[in-house]
Amino acid sequence: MWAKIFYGAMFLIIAASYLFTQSLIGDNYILFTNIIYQVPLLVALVVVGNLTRAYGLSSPHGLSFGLITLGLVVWLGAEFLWVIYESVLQVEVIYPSPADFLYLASYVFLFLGFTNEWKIGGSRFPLWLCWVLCLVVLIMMGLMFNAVYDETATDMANMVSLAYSVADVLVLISAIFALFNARQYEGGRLYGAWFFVFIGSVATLVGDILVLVFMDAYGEGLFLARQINLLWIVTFVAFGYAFTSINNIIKDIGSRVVAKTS
Amino acid sequence: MDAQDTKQNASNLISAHFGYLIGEKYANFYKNKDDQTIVSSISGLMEEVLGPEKAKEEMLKHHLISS
Repeated sequence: MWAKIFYGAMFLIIAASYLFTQSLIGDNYILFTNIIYQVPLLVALVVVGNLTRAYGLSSPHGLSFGLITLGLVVWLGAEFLWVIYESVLQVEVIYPSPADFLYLASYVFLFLGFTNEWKIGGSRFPLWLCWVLCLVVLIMMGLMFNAVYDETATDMANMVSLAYSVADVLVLISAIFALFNARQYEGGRLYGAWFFVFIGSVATLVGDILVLVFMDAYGEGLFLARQINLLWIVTFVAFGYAFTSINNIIKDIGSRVVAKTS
Repeated sequence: MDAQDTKQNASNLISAHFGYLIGEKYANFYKNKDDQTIVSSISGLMEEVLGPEKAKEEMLKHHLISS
């Protein structure tokens, strides 16, 4: 219960900060929102790191959570760099920047973590879903690359843009893996946790697509476009809640043995 | 099934899903329990956390029940 209250309150406070503080704090708005943006990511990172420790890296689930932890560490690194660029140095960042490479790396680690977890579960995709997924992937990559390709940009910039398109395909597949993980635990306490991982993955995907659609406005930091960040905050809050739930399940199971033997 | 196998299999199943520390706690707990008690206990635990279908699948995989 406390986890629901904690994460719900965290999201509401951060969302309210994004939506209502600009008129109150003026020029400090971007720095303030950049800083509070890191909080749910840090919380999720600590929680999943704790899970990795509880399972141990040598165990299959431990490896999954270890890779997810690494993905969030790298994501935090990217966000930290972005705060330095945008709020501390206040420089116009040339695309692609080191932060972009860290973002891309984080997606890869997260994808590997979700893939390993799906592999452990042993659930299979029906063949029709494989075909639909291939078609969706091809359409996604075509549309995304068409949208981001810039004739006037450098080859490196276009390659990174293509890499972001591929990364979003990985996010889509990760979301599907998370949903299949949830389904295999139907009727059990782990179902809810993995469903929240699915919600978090979908939020990232939607956020990435919206940035693509409103790239100019987002790049200029326009107020409404900046609210897209709330979707990634949904991701961090959902992940944090999911991994906290799994932590609580483990503690609960462990405490029953102590109760029985005492 | 060998009693030692059941205890070990049960502990392995718990370690796989809840981590090695919890697995060790349960290995200690199951030390003086008979097969039926162990299987009944772990079955309830797995059903609660993994759901009935996944629990059955895992119990089969770890040779705690037969199909």
